[in-house]
Amino acid sequence: MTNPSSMGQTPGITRRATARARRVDRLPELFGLKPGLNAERLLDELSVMLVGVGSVGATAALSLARLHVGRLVLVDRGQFKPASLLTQPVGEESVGEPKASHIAGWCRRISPRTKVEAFDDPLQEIPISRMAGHQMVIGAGDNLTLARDLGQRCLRVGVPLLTAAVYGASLTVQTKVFAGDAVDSPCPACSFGAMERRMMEEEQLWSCEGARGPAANGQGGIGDATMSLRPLCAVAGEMAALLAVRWQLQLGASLANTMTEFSGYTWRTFVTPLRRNPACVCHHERWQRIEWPRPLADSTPQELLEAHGLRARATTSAALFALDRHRWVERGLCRCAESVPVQRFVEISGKRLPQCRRCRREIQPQPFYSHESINAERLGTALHEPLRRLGAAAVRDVTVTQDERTTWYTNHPAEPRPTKGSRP
Amino acid sequence: MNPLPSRSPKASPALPQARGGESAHNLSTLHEVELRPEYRRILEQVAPGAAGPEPWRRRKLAAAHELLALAQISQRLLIQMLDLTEAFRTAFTLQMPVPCRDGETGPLRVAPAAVLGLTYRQEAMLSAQPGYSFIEILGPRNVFHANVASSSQPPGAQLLCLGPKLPPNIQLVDLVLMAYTAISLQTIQFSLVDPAGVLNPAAARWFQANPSHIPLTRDPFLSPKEAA
Repeated sequence: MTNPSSMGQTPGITRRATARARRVDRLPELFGLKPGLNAERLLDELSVMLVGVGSVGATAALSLARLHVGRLVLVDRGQFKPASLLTQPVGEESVGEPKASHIAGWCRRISPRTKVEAFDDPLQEIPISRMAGHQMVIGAGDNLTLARDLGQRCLRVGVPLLTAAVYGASLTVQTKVFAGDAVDSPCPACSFGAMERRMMEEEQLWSCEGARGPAANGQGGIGDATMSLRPLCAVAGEMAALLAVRWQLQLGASLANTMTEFSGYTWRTFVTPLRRNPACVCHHERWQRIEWPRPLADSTPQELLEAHGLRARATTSAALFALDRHRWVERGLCRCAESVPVQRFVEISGKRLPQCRRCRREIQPQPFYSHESINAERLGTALHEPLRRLGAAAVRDVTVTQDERTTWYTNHPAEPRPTKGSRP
Repeated sequence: MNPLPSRSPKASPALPQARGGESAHNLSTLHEVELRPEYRRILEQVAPGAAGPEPWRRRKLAAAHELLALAQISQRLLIQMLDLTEAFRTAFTLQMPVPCRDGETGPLRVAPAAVLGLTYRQEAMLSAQPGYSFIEILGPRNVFHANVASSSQPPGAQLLCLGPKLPPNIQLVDLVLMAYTAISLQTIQFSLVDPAGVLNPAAARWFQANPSHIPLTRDPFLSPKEAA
């Protein structure tokens, strides 16, 4: 192994910086690395989003940080609780801290060269464009709805998804890799049986504070905490990190669409293929991504329709527009309780609508007349207005869907700026 | 009754006025009801615009058939708007007593009908949804009901809460029937210590103090003749 002290000091780098160990100091010459592949460069390029930063996800994040990977994005809306100390790689000072931001801080300290972002928000509030561009998404959440939504998002943007989970009583770790490279790829919901569907319907959570949901104790309250040993959670997290590295460096047999189960009792590992379930409850679709050459806010819906390949009015009328984090508001309400026409896009958590002309109070979107997506015919003359003039000055992602074919137009820059809830 | 919000000209295809009044069907066999021409035309008008994955499209069309069948056999229901493009959205008038009050101290008035906006999103097929996420009372604007958000409070939308969570894949017609029994006070949840369902605490307290107004009617959704 190379001795770092023999390498000398790089000009312009401080003594403290050179005192840090470099990845190459511990990176072996991997037997399975294909000729022409450079492990150092591939790890520099490795960008991973981790959704769920608990006992499994935090372990994986810290491990990837020790590999000095290129980029980590951590997503978790939860906070550390006293019980977290039993299974998660944190100390007492972390109790009450948001999980994603706290672990992100540790990752930065371990690897200043890794670009680390944290979102202390639920997945649903993360723009889908933030999921693209990663080599892998790791899902280590505490509920099946999250796994299902994550699977759908990854399929749409074509990013591989790795899920990791533990079953405490049987000392079992289960990891699944969903390649997400085609619409006939499996997704997490493909393997849901009746029990999983019931748990999802009942919004069952597995938390170290206690399992929640009607099934937890039969009364809709908090049941027994999910039980698991720290070493098992650590194994799951480390397996996830190792599989992400294997995926990125293309080491060993293909991991695409496989499930790996490890038993802590028998010390045996089983690898089984995952297949798409034709009766899957989720819609499997892949979006075509187009980096729009100018600000989407300056483009009209008609231009986007034409780029989608729709010109004739007869074919465009059924096309659906959806703007990320915006909705189309046909009518709004104000304090004078009148329903007034609005006819513009409104940011879901952003600036408000104009004032009512009659009572001078702020207009609020009326739920029944607010649409997450809007069809082209209903836009009418607004089809020819720039999105900025229609209220979407901040829009960065637009999808146009017709006949189950979706085009995703994005202005998302290569180095995304943090948004609300992000702590760079 | 306050004037109803005018329909947006682009909100939906113009629908022919179709009014009910047919007998010999019950609520569990709505899918078997053969639609009369005026109702079939509505379905044919909106069906081509139904977008989304195939199971969702099929579901929307089946729900539209059932809703139109319900309108056909019932004297209560007048469909004003039907839109299947993304979510299933419909606005309809229900002939039923609706508790209203002008201002915070006015007397209770009973309006003869309500216009309801019903939105059924695709995710409702898969996951349990909050009870307030389906129905908004579009008119009258001064509904006074424990389970309806007050129009005098921002944001002013009169959302009707049908319970803490409604089960996944709930049938659309069930929502219509639940709305009928809830608004006419045949079923009401006004316990302030159980926050599930109470969106207007003042109304909850008022009805606790004035139980003689409960229910506003004992009539079932379908008259015995309609249900025969």
